[in-house]
Parts: sequence; C-alpha cells; structure tokens
Amino acid sequence: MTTRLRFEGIRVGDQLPALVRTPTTEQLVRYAGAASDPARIHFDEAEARRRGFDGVIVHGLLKAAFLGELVTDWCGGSAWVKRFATQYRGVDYPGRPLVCRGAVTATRVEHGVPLVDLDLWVHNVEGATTTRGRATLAFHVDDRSLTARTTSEQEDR
Amino acid sequence: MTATTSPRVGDEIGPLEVRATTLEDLVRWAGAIDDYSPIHFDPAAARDRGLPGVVVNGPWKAALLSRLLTDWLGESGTVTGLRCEYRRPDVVGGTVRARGVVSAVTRDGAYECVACEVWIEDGAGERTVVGTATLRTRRPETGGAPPADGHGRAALIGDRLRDALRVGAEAGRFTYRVEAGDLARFVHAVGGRPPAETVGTHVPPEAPPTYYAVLDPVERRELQLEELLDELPFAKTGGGNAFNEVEYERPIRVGDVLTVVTTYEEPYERDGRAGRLLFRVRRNDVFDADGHLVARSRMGHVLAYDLDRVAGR
Repeated sequence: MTTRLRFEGIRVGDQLPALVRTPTTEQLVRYAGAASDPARIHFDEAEARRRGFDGVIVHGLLKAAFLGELVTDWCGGSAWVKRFATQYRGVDYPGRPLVCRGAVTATRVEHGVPLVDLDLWVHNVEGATTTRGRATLAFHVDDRSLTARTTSEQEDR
Repeated sequence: MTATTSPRVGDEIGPLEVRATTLEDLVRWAGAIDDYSPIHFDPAAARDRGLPGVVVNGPWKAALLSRLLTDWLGESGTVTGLRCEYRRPDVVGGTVRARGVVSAVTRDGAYECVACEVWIEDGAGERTVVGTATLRTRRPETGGAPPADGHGRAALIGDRLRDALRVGAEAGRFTYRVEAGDLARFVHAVGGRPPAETVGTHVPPEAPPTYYAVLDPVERRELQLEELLDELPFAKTGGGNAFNEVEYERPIRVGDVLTVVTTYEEPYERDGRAGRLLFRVRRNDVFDADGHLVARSRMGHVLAYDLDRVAGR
C-alpha cells in the first residue's frame, strides 16, 4: 500500500501513475447495464456499422469513469473529487488498450480547503487523444499534515 | 378480458406481440438481472455454441407472458402462478408473440380461480415456450380501459425544438435511491472484473466521480424530449456525447435518495468536421432528501447533419 497522499507534497507538473484499460465488448454491456445507458452503438455491431463506425464503440462516459479511477487511485482517501469534466474527441473500439493519464496544473487553498487541479486525458495506441478532462480534488481539512502546515513554519520544526 | 364479464373456458388471452426483439431489449434485461451470458449479446459466442445467432433470454419470454396476463387482468386480479418450459431458442430480431387460452375456471367465494395455457410463438407460429398459469380474479364491478397512448409529434425545428426541450423551464424531475448493489455493479463494470472475482471486495460507500451520469434521466431514457430530431429532413452523419461535467457539494453516498431536476439550456449549432453540429445541453440539479444541493451537472450531446443531403438517401 502506498503512503497517504499529502497536499503539501504535491507540485504543479506532477504526473499521476498511468492507468491502462482494455475494455471488452462484455464490459461495454456491463457498463450499459450498470449505468442504465441503452444506446445501441455500444453493443450492437450492426447498428454501429450502420452509423458509420467500424464496430461497437466505447462509451465516452466509460472512458470518463477510467479517468475517475485514475484520480481516485491516486488520491485514495485523502481527498474527494469536487469537480470533474470530460470532453469526447474521438472514438475508441473494444479490445484496444487505452492509456489514462493526468498531471497537476494548480494547487491552491480556497475557503480553507486545499484544492488540486488536474488535467486528464485518454490516448489510444494510435496516439490519438480521444478524451480530455479536468478535475478538482478537495483535500479533507481534518488532514493533520495540513493543520501543521497552516499553523506556522516554527511549529513545523 | 373486460372487467364486466367473468372469464370462460376457451377465452383467448392476447396476443401480445413484439414484432422484432432487439439487442437493446436483451441488454436491458442482462443489466436488470445481472446475467451476462454472452450468447445473449455476442453473435460469435452464440455461433460457437451452435446457435443460429444471439438468442432471446428464456426468462425474458416468461416475463412477456407475465405481462400478457397482467395486461389482460388489468386491475381485476393477480397472477398467482406461472410455469414455463423453454422448448426452442428465439433469435434476436424475430417476432415473439405471447398468447394464452383459459383452460378452467373455478369459483372461490368472491373470487374466481382461472387456469390458463400460455405460450410464446415465433413469427412462423412455432411454439418456443409453453407453460401454464393460474390467476385469481375478483368478481367484476366496474370497467375501465387502459388509457390509449398516442401522442403524435410533427416535424419542425426552431421554436418547436425549444418548446419540446422546454428550454429554460424544468423539463423533468426524477427521484433515485442509491443502492449498494447499484454502486457495486457500477464499480465492477468500470473495473472490468466480473462480480465473481470481486465477491467480498470492499465497495466504498462513496460513489465514483462519474456516478452522476447514472442519475441522468436522459441517458436512462426516462426523459425523452428529442423525438422530433429524428424527423429532421437532413441526413444524420454522426453524433454522441460531446461533454459531461459535474460539480459536487458533497460525494454521492449509498442510501442517498436523490431528486434530479433537468433543465435544457438554449441549443446551439456550429460547423464541424462531420457536418453541421447541433448541440443540446441539459443541466441536472441533484438534491438530497432534505432538499440540499448535492451536485450540479451539465451533459452535452451533439448530432451532426449533412444539410445538403436528405435523410434516408
């Protein structure tokens, strides 16, 4: 188990450990069921081809969910996701690896709450970035390390 | 059955016909009962098993028989028993027709017990499911036909689209309870692991960041205000979700009873690679049982049209 993520240790430019996911058609069906999303281009090969795709395509929101996993795997219980936004720029097909990445763009404290802004993206094996995202993490204010940091430098030894 | 007459032996029930079963029916079923046998959605897996194609779930057909009976009974009785044997597969895309006939009626005080033969037949009239059912009906007093469902929508855009989307006003309001099982299923689906491998795995009480999308009445097809877009005279050249965003006041948790209020923003268009792009953006305000705001999300969907090509050409 990794150590607890500490707000004061985070720097702009820090990269999140990449997450690789290779969704299967079965996973798309499971996601469609779990998310109550009945759009047919995600499980009906013929319908997807009729709509001009090479086959069934991965849900944008499943790629967003992978980015969500990337973020929560990184921050663990130290923070929660306050803002999360994704844009879908291209299609992906099941059976091909998707690489989910993120980087820190800002750290700040707002109303006493330490916040970390992230850029997120998914790229496929062809190198295309098919999903872009942004997230803001809110660190739990009862975090001891933060209390120590905000009192004074002297007390911090 | 009309509510003013008692059932008699030989009375026919139905038919209740699904002219063409769809993969969507089966996937909805798979999700609802958490059964992901690939023969119900994957043509290759079905062929490997020697089946002629993706086959309709037997219990789905049983559920159709159940609906046949409850539709027939209306408010006047209940289904007390249903037994089915699955005799032959039905391939997706085919017709399934639920039918029945009353085989016995016995009096039981103020009630009648009705026994029926029920079956599913395919488009050629072959019986693919056979069964028996028992019903219990109250002695009828008042009649009441189910309300006819026939609201037509004509084709136009502009103010008609704005009106259809109820732009700026509340478009719909739905309440959902966040169950542990729903959350577990979502986490497992995103993690790509079958539940069998994750039995006993800790599912956190807080929902993952994108769970807000599960509570979108439009993705769920519970709020459908966009039918008239299908009637636009231009060829559709693409489409899908364009963006999703959320701001939480607090995480969504198991046990939350959340009311989602959906409002459409002003639709907009612009030119894109795939043609003329029509964006519709809806906002979901999510409140907890105490009326406190939990989250506010925006869901953007885009449809692309070729303005020089007529639909269907």
